[in-house]
Amino acid sequence: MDLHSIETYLRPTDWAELTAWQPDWAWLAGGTWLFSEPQPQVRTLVDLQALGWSELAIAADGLTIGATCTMRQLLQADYPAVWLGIEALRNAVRELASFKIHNEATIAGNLCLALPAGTFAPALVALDARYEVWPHGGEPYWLPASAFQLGARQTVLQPGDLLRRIHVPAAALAWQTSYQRLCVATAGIALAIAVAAYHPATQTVRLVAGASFPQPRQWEFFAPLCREQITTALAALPLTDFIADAAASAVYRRQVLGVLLVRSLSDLGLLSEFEPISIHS
Amino acid sequence: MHCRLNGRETAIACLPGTSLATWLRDQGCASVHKVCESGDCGACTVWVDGEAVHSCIYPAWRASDRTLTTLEGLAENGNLSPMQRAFLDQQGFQCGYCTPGMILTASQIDWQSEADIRRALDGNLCRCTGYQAIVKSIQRARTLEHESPAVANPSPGQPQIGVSLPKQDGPAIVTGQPIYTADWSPPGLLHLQVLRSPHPHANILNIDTRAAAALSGVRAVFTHADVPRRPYSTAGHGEPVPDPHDRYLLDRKVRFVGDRVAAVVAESVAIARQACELIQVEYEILPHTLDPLVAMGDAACELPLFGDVEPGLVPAILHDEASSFQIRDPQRNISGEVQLQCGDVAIGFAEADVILERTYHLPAVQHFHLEPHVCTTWLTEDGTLTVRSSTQVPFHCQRLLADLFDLRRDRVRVYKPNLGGGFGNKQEILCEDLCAFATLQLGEPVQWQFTRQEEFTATNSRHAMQIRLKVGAKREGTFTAMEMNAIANAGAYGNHSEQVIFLTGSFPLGLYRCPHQRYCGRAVYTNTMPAGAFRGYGATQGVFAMETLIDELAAELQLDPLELRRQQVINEQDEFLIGRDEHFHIVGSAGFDEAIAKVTQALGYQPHQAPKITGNQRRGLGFAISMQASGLAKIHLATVRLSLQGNGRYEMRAGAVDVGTGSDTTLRQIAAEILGTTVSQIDLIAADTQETPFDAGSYASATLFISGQATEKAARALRDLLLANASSLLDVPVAQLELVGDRLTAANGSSLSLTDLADQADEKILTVEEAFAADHSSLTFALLGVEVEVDLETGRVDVLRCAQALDIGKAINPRICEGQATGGIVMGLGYALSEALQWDEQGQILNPTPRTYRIPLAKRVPPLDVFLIEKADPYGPFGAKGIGEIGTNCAAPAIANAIAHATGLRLRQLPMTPERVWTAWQAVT
Ligand code: FES
Ligand code: FES
Repeated sequence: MDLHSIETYLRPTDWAELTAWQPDWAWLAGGTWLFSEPQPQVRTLVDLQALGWSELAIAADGLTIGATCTMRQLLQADYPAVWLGIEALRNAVRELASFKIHNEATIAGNLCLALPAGTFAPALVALDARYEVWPHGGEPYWLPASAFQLGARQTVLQPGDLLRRIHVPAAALAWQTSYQRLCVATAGIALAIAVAAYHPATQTVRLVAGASFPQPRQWEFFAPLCREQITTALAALPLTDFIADAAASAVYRRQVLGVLLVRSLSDLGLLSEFEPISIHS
Repeated sequence: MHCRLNGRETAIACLPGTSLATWLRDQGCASVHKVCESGDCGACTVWVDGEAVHSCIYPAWRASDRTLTTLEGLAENGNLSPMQRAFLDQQGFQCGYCTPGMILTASQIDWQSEADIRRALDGNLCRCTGYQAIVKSIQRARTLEHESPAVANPSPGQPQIGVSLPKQDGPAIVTGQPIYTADWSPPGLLHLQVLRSPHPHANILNIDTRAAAALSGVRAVFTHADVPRRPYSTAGHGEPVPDPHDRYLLDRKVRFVGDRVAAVVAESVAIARQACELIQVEYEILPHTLDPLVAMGDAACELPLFGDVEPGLVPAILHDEASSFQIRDPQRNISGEVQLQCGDVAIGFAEADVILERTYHLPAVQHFHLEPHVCTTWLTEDGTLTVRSSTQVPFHCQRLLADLFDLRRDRVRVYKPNLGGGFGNKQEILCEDLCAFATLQLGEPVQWQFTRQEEFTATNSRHAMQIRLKVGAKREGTFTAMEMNAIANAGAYGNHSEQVIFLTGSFPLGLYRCPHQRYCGRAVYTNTMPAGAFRGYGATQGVFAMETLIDELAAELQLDPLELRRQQVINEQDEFLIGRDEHFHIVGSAGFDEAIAKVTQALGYQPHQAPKITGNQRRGLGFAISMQASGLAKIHLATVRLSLQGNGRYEMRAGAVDVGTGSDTTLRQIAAEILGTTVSQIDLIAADTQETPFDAGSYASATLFISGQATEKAARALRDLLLANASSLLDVPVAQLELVGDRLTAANGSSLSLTDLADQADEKILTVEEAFAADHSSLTFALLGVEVEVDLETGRVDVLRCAQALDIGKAINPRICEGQATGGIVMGLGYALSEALQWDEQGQILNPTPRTYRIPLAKRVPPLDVFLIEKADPYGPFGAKGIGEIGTNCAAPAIANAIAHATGLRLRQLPMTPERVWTAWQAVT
């Protein structure tokens, strides 16, 4: 929609140009979210596109995704066959929206929005990703994906800070993954997302939950697992940790999260009916 | 900044926050339709450097140096693209408002299977078609690449009815012509926006408009102090208007979050919006209520089946103003009430072997017509107030505006261009009133277009209802008594409510043979968005209660649910008893046996069939039937004027409103059939109070039944007139003359062309005008069967198959009828499974966007089989009956019954979300 309050549109071609930052400025990456709601508090858009940060680099040490890399780029690139984990990222794209949104929307933009139902955050947490942040007027630093989102619509980023790139290590990309999601209707905002990542050599299983909590949560186990381990892990959490809103209650979110976690395990052939071996973490 | 737009170098000059969609529309690309403006519906799809994007969420400034293609630029050298031709070939549209985005999206889908296509349409919403015709169009485009579609239009003299002629506006739709209301406006247009109430109930103590008025570009700010205070109803009904007169252009009081507070007229929408933000309002907050049972106070327990409700005090009276009238009981917030009775239910229940009594909860849902409410008003040189509006009721709108502003009716002209859907929400006069007022004050053209948020929060919904139903039956399945009570949430204003609750009781009760029936419905004011007309018009809610309870009763009696219905449903031998003094419904034809045969065969259903169980997945089948009348007998008037023109072509002037369904085509088919000509020979001028004779408008499934009969009468009269004229010119008896194509031919071989006839006769003489109002309203019946799969772990319900049989008398245009059926089913599917407007405690709607209010997507919709049962009805044109609404009614109860078959769970609240199904399952395990 038209953003009636915008007075200035900046299109820097060099990061160094951006010496100032005002509270009523906003980064414009894909724009697919920014232009989808009124933004009465924003007066200046800072378009990132001309900075040339849309890299999608495939290297021996892993995958690097630039600040303005679109979902389509991620979906369509060719990856080494051993990178089984890519499937989780591809699913995160497919589950998000129409292919026309993929043409414009960026992965980094989706992470910065920090919607609880964001489709990428749980996948990137499961794949041990690290993010490079360029703070406004400060030194760039890296942090793990799991430390980035602090709550619903809340990240470590301060005004003017930028999520410059995402790095997914090759080791994690070799893991097998399963991605599960459930909405009230066939599509829309998820009530629960479950991502399972499995490392056969160490028998480690990492489970990450999205959409059920304000930010992704993770557990680690050794394979194989049984249903009760999932139930126990979820039952250990206070019900108030789960989101309750007009779309669904906390009780129901907990239920479907459990179901999706179990389904992700069975998808990877990791579900056994045996007694639990041990709970790791 | 420059870009290449449809092959032309174009400079980009606009405000920096402008979306590409707006900029493209400003460049004259009317095919770019703004529906959601949030990236969710795809109606604004265009190509940027050959890639499809949603232009509403694409910054216009980013288009610099890019190549842009809109639907206007798709055809090369005047040759339609294969996808455009395929959409024409398969008629992949009704109103066409989604079509530009569909075509541009579909052209880029890479698919192997139908499922691929449906998935790829995730970003495209259509509310009319049910997607089936769209998917077929996309499939067809492949085979069409190298051939051109074979358009087999019948020639003159061949049957013109019973033929699936393409909608006559198809070529304009697939090429993105400027055919909708907002696509044209007079120069010097101003824009109106309103400030809406943030409170559910409050008095306005003071409004300070100075800052708003001072903003550059603002032309006027209006508050309640500036407008005439005259009560009216927004419901588009004919005279005498039966509805409560409880609205004011602008009032001193606000009654729901979203109610109008003040209006700003400015040079642009942006300025008008900004000015609204600058208006300072001082409110006196009043107590509010969102629950109709509470709002009625001590009247809540008066209805027999609501005896357990605790009587309380009326928390807040919504309409205590003395000037409002036709309100049933304002002190207890009762907007309208309907009581119907036949026999004596006490006797009936005493005779019953089994009695079931249940309570049902139905939510408020939104129409989500893609084109929003929009109108443009201006004064012509002679001072006529002209209103170009997206309305289903131009003539009622004209009357209301004339009354409101003390104008002679012929000084007000209302007309509608193509409509991008209405579904009842445009049988309300919601934008024309203030817009016209602004034009009368300023003397300048003014436009008011609703945002999607306003559509969700400040128009109308389907009535939320609580229905209690009690049915008594004998062991063998005959009904001894039925009693129904319905409490409907009218919202803040009464408009259609009383008429709506009439149908809630009368159709479901009237559907079955039962000697003792009683119904009481009440519509109650609360501080929520008003409820209004919505396809099905109250019957939808009542049918859900009745059809799920009948199903439950069949299970209780160990009878097959279809067989029970077949035996007890009314047929041609029966009279429609309940409420008959008021509505004159009649069973002209009913094809139930055939309907049952078709639907059971399509679904492979056997009586007493067991559900299929695989792990946590359960599959079951369910059925529901319903009926809906064809227009309003005695009340609904339609007039048609037909002439032979000097060039030998016909001209038809009809007040009838095509809401996008295709009635402009079907009405011409009727005329063409009688005149021995083809639709293409009939020039149509429709729905314009100045240019066409009166028609009540498009609602109550009336167009084909009522306007169709006016057309039939007019065509017969014109035919007689032409034959009589030719008879005297050729000196041959009328009986020996034939009218076919452009010629009248006598048995002796002499003949006369229509042009010659027109030449030799006085033009006025070759014009006829006929009006029609029905004595009876024929009932259309429908049966829907569905198969569902329920996932017991998550409660998720998938509809796997649907088969619907509609007994429609005669299909004038079978494909258009099928389109109504599929569209109706899918609308019902949304009602059943996912749609509901939700409020917080302050009455604020929580899900006013398509992202949070989920209408069905293509991938949710299973294959739909539609069977048109043709058993000519003696009361309709060529035996035809109405079909616009009925398709919607059966989906929710059929799905609920299928869930019951699969799982044993009886769900009595809509929508049947995964959580509700899962919770119900927990309660029994
Ligand atoms: S997606 Fe742009 S108007 Fe809906
Ligand atoms: S034809 Fe798709 S919305 Fe009307």
